[in-house]
Amino acid sequence: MKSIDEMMENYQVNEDILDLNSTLEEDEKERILKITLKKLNITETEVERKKGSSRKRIAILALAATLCFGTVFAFATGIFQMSDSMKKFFNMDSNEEVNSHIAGTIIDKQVTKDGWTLDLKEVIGDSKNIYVLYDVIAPKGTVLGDNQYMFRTQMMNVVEGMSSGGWNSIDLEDDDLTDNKKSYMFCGNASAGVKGKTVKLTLGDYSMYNPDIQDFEKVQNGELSATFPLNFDVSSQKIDIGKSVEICEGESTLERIEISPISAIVTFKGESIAKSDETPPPVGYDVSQDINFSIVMKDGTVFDAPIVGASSTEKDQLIFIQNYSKLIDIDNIKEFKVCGITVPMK
Amino acid sequence: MTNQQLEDMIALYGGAVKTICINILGFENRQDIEECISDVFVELWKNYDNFNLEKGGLKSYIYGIARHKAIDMLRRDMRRRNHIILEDADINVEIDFENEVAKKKNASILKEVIDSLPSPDREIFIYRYYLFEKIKTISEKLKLTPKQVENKLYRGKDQLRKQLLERGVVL
Repeated sequence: MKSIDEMMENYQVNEDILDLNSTLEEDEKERILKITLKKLNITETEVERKKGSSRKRIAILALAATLCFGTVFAFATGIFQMSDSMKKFFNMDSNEEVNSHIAGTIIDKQVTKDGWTLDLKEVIGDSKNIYVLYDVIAPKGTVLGDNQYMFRTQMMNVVEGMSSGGWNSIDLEDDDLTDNKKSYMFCGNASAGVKGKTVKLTLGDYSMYNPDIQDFEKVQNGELSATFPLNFDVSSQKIDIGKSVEICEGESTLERIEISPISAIVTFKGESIAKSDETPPPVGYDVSQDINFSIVMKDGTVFDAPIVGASSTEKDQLIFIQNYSKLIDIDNIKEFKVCGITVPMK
Repeated sequence: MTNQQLEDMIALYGGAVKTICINILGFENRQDIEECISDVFVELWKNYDNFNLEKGGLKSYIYGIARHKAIDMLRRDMRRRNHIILEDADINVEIDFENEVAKKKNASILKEVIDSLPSPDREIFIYRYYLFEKIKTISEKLKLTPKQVENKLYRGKDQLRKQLLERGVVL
């Protein structure tokens, strides 16, 4: 990069120099608010519902790329039978038995606009996390080949109300580079929880990377939205602890660990968190990076397959969510190690 | 983020965001400018919960998004490609902002170098190359003649190049 204006993209400007004291006219403000809300796919009512909620912070760390192919669905009574694609995402063989604690459902919902189809296939989840397997199907005659594609607009809303959350889509291995289909896994969480609720996914402005301009260019315009209920039982296990731990440069209480096959949710509460929340760390920093958490299995091995770590802080409570690239066999967990203390699995 | 907070943010920063968008996109189409401004606040809405307002940093973050969104829109809209007419802004050194490790180091050096420029050179650089303000606007703001601004940009460019190399930017 040789041009100064391009380099300045990497310059973090000091606020004292930003003296752009212009204001918007009332009608401009109204129009911009309206457009913004529309893009966020939030009605006035939905946003109003969030009024009064206190400040929260949530951050999602980079997701490791994970691959999968093929889609075969099966649904059995009692245990949700994950498709081969979902199994592949969690690094399982297609003939591997599914853990009895897995909770999920088939969505089978398609939305089409201007020839572009969003095909939501299946979802697995727990109290705060969901993984949604979906395809993007381009109009007939369009080839979604060996390029990088992404939705510029990605939103997850919980219809019953959602204060904060994080989400991302991971592209899955494409076994046919000559067809008009790409498969993705949408990974999302909501600090207020998703269990038994209805989720709305909005994906839009599907774009392809153009190396000539070093940027993505839209190949599809507008949004594709679909709503689906998370009508499945979640069989995670909760362990109440109540022990003091060192966190956020002070002491707080490790309240509980909630474990499911797809995540560990650790709740802390106390003064050091409240203090930290009043003066949070710099932008880009996430406390989850400093939370030393591990799962020890009964055979003595450490379950070592984290892909996403996220934390949400509200007043004196901190919720840490750790997701994994493999399903956790919760029946074979011996203990957890959290911020220097050992918690046996019950 | 609540409805009220979003409204407040638009009221508080919307004007400045509009200025940045106009600086970069030009004032040809009100609808495009408002689209760009709304994109900025959509991005802010998505990330707002990462911030503590008392801690600060929100203003520069919002301006950074505005700059990025407007440039992004400009790149997507070839009709306006020539709108930003900057004097020769090439410093003839290929600095690596692609590699993550190099990017972090180079961004830090870039900040050191620009922040250590004497006033008003620092302001001129930022107004011109970060906010894309016109030479005339900068000269009026800093009570200098347009020629003085141009000269400072010209000399500052060489100074910037020299300082970046001396401080060991990764090429």
